[in-house]
Amino acid sequence: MRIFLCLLLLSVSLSARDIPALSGPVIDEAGIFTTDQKWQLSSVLKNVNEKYGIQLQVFIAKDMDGDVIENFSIKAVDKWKLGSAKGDKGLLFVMAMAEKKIRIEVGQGLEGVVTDAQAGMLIQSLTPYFKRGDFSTGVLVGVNGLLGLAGVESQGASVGMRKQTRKKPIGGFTLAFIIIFIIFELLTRRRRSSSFLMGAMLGGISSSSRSGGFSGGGGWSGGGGGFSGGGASGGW
Amino acid sequence: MRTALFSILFLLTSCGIQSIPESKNEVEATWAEVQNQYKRRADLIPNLVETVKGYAAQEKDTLTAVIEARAKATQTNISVDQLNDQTMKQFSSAQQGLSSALSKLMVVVEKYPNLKSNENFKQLQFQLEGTENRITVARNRYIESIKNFNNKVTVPPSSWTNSLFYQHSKMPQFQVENLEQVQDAPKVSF
Repeated sequence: MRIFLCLLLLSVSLSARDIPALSGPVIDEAGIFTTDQKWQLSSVLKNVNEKYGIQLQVFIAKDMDGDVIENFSIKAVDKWKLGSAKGDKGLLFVMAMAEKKIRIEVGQGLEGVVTDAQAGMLIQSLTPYFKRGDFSTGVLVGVNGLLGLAGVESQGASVGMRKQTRKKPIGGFTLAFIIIFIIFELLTRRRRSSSFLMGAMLGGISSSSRSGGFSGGGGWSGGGGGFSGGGASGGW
Repeated sequence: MRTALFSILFLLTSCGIQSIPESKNEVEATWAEVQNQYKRRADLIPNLVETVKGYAAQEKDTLTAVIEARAKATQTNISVDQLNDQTMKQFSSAQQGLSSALSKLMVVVEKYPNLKSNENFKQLQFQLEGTENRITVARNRYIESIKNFNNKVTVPPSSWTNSLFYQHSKMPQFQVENLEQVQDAPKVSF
């Protein structure tokens, strides 16, 4: 009986939901991505991690079970320890669909390049997508913007996203990104097998489009990166 | 013979001879981080006050209150060795003073749409929010490390080692000592 009571107490104190295991660069509990999209985005993020040592994690949570987004997100990075212990270059892009909250959590090694203000402005520029219900595009634009801020070079990133803090909410590169994304969407709707295009385009971010070459097999785990609560939150 | 060896080994690993200084170091590091983040907040304030002044100069009282609270908060620097219940209280109340002065300022600011749409002010607002969050994280880590340390020095068997070798006493924990203030939080009326 006593043991039972203890267990009950324990389960009550653990009622806030658990953080899932780090299964890949994209954890999509709410199913906002298609399988193709998820796979493409994952391979880009793996490439970026290999090349730049920047570990960006996308986490689309169904809900937070009463938690607040800041607490939820620090719990996630404390568990996953994104980025290497030496560089601390981890980034978390987390959304809670039920609560309509979003947060970008910035690792200690990137606090200088992705400032709180920049993260905040980026989130503000994404909310129109989320309000429309266009979550996958919003996340892709956000990820693209984050990588641009973090110094992951691409042909247009320096034109578009670097000046994010200025007035313009959407840079040229982002626009091109969206247009190509839409084209890609149309294409895949007709022919399933042409997910090649998005691969080439997304691959452009990390400037290596070994089209079809990225194996889904590469390991994905945190390297001990530290976070101290930098970043910004928002909602839609 | 073997049991003697094992018991010695056991004593060495679980007695705290190693873990007590380790957790003391952890406390020092987390405390430094707490102070660091509070300093970060204090550093933002001159810029914030300047920006607000440009649009809402008539809110002189609120702005002066923020500047004074900042001065008080930056004066109370406490090193780990000086930490006790008394100094902790001092530190917390000085920082709390700044927090409430700042939140008053943020309420006042609502009256000035031009200021709110000012690009510089928006950025400062994000930075301030970010810093407040960092402070929360730093405080939580300090609380965690203090809990660990206090357990080591008060709970046997490591507490025996402590009283034999180190003689550390418990360290002060953060408290919500501003309960009255929390209770009369701003009321919403329509």
